[in-house]
Amino acid sequence: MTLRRRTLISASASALALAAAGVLPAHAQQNAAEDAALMKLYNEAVAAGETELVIYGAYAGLFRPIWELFTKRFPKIEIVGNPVSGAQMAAKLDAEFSSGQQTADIVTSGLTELLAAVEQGRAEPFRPPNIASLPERYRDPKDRFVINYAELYGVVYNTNKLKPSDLPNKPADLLDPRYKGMIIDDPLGARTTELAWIELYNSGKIDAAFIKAMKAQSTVVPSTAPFFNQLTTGTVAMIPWGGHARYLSLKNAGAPVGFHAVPGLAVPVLAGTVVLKGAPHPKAARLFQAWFLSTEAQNAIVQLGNSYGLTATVSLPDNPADWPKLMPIAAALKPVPPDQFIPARDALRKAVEANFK
Amino acid sequence: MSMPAERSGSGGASAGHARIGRRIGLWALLLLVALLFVWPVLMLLAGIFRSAAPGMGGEWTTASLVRTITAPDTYVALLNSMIYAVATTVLATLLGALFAFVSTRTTAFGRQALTPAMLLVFAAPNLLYAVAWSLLADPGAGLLNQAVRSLTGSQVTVLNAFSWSGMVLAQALKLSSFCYLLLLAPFQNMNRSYEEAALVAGSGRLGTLLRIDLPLMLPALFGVVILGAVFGLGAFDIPQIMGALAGIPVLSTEIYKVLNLAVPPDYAGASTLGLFMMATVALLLSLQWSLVKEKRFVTVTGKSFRQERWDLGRWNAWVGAAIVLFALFTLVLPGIQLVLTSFQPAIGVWRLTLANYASVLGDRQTLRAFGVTAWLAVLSGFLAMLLALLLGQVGRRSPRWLQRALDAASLTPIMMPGVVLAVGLLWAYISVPGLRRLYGSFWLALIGLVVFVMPIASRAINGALVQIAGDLEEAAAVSGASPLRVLLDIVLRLISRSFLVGWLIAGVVAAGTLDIPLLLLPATSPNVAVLVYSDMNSGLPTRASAMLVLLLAAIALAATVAALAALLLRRLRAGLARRRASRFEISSAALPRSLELNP
Repeated sequence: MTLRRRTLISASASALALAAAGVLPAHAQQNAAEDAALMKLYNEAVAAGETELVIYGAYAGLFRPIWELFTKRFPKIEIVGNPVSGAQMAAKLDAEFSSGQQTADIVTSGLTELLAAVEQGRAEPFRPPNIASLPERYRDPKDRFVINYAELYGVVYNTNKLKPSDLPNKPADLLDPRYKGMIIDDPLGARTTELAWIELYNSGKIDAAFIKAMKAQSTVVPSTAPFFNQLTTGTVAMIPWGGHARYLSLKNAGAPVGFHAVPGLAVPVLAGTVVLKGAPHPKAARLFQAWFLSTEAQNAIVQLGNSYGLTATVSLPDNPADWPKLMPIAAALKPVPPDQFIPARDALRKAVEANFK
Repeated sequence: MSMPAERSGSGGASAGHARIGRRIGLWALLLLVALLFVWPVLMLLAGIFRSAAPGMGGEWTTASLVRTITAPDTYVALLNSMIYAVATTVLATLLGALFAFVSTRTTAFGRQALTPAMLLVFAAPNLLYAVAWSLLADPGAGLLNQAVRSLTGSQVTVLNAFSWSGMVLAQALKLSSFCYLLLLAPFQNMNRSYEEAALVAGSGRLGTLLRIDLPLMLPALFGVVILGAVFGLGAFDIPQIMGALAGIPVLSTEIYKVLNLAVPPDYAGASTLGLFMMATVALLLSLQWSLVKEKRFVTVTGKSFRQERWDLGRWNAWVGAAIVLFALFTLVLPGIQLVLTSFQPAIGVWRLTLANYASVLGDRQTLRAFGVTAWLAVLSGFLAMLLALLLGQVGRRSPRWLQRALDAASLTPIMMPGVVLAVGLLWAYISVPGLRRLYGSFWLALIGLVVFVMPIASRAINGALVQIAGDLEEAAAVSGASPLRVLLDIVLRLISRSFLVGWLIAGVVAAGTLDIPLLLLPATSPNVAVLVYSDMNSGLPTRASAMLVLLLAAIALAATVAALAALLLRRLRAGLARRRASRFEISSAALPRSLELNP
């Protein structure tokens, strides 16, 4: 046995003894309890012969480094991410459930798709042992899903084309003629614009007149994702509701992009995970659901996934330019609890159908 | 003298057995065609009138049909789609036919480079081509516009990717490779003696081209025009990326919108929009059937024919320059853009890195995906060509209505855009008890891809079959050859070139297809297209480019190995033939004078 290994073992033993004696601070005790609970779930999954975990969802590709961290922590289980969303994910899940040949264990997605899974009776209720670290408003009372991370939608712009003083600070500013031609995706398309507008419309920040004016003011594309290429080349100057994660990855790669998130215009969009009924790897899925709330995973969501963790223990980088605080942005909006999400979406859809055609 | 009678009796019985066998075979084939091609479309058609996805409950309704048909947006998209399809098909067919003619019938400079270049253009996935051209002809920082500006010292924008001209040019250049590859074999098989007769009769070269070559090529050209127009109608990536910013909606982008409008997706709306494509394809097919009368286009007969090339004289250099220019715009510039992108940390960031390649090559799942892609491409291409050959040959020997029904069935997959067809296949197969068990396996994805590439296979085979005279098969049949023997020994040998080209094209299309593998392959063994889609969706276009460069390199390597193997085989065969001939001469010389045939 090497010195290093001996030191590690004795340190772990001391930590456990201290925790048992109540000498460690509360968060350290919590971590030790969480670790023990996670190891129990891991051992159960391994004992059941579950060596794989299949995750569907738009972020399943973006979060690959987080999946690798999971496997590093639990070496006998490998995560296979499949970044399907929208029509493809719905068709795939429909086929799996009706054929009985199920592949997916977990869906990670925004509220629209999470709630669709719940509504179709496909969610397997599970209460992670460490759920206490998550604020009450992000939990489902019936434990069918967990809201465990968020994406911030704000103005992503080309810094060679726009100066910070040129940027809009409220929705009405977007109607200025100098922003004419800005790209948004379809506000009925269950994508960024719709998700942002649900919150803004519900909070009274935008109204029917704004929606009508935006029709003439913007270029509507099926998805803004491909146009981040044009944003970095400068052909597109600004995307008013662009993802923070996408901005950060472009910025880290050296692209001339900036992010502008002001309360009342920017919108945090919640996302989460659901364990599917009949999952081929149910114990591994439970382990994942719990691990995703752990301090380690929540910090990885920030550092490796460029998104916002939501538990009380997560630590965000102290860099407001790149990591705007979520609280003031969320405080400027009227909260939409999960059970009010579908009515809020339907209200927006009605307004869009009447004014955006 | 009872022997002949007995012989005749047993001969009659065996003929009866053969007839019954043929009938069972025919019914089995019809059942297979119905299951593979008709059933998925029926599921989708039924889906138009359902309020929920097939198999998920719901009720019968015409709401979606009425909503789509009465929406003004539908007709704007339809008109744009038709303009787009006609413009791209005309340009692509002209380019494809011109270069196929140059490659097979002339001595033009650089003609040998055409086929490999076209293969590479064709192999480049549409998504990649759309991204490459949107960057190349970007009005702000596009390489093309920047180059012209620095050369002329002006601020001119020669080509705007986000306009009608940009979209049509990019799509037509991509589509021209497909037209070229499909026209290559028919041009090669054209009988030069007809041209010589026309020249001898005093017709000029242009007159011969227009009055002899062009009419002879009509069936193949119609096939290509039909497929080109349908691909133009269903094209998605270029209209989405380049047309969306230009504000030009087309049917495919509307279908995408309808499918992504709500959760769960509106399949009924998508299928209704697909109806417009079905109607257009049906119209084009009926046009082809009424204009093409088989026997007028026979060029491959039992008689030998000559295949000398035309010396273009002073036009050689001009045609050579056109080839270079074409290669520059279809291959070199988009290729440079792709390779550059694959070495960039983000698009538009001019710093080079190997990180994308390191990430791709360091991922076990990605490496496995190349194997899955190769197997799917090779097997689906081959099986589709085999099935197309079987259907084509059965069609030739059947009543006209059956021939047309088989032809139409094999074309049904192109009537639906990728994702709608994939959903139709999914629902059709999981509704069949035996096939349901295959869901989530490699094999169901393979079946789906065979169906998907079938229109390409059937056009490639039908274009070649229509050029074969019936007398060759009749002669073989009279000599006692079974239909299978006729198919394998006569037909397959005569159309072997078209078969191989069709296999290659179908295989390459299968390698780059996304929708079918995305829905039918198990999540745990994706192919390269699924991983590229994953990276594109995850905002990693530079990593996706690295994967595509590797895929193109693999296809180029496979094509080179195949070409070398074919060359080796040809040389071996020639050597064998020479050895046989010399052995014959030796044995003839050794014959006793009394046994010589012509004393």
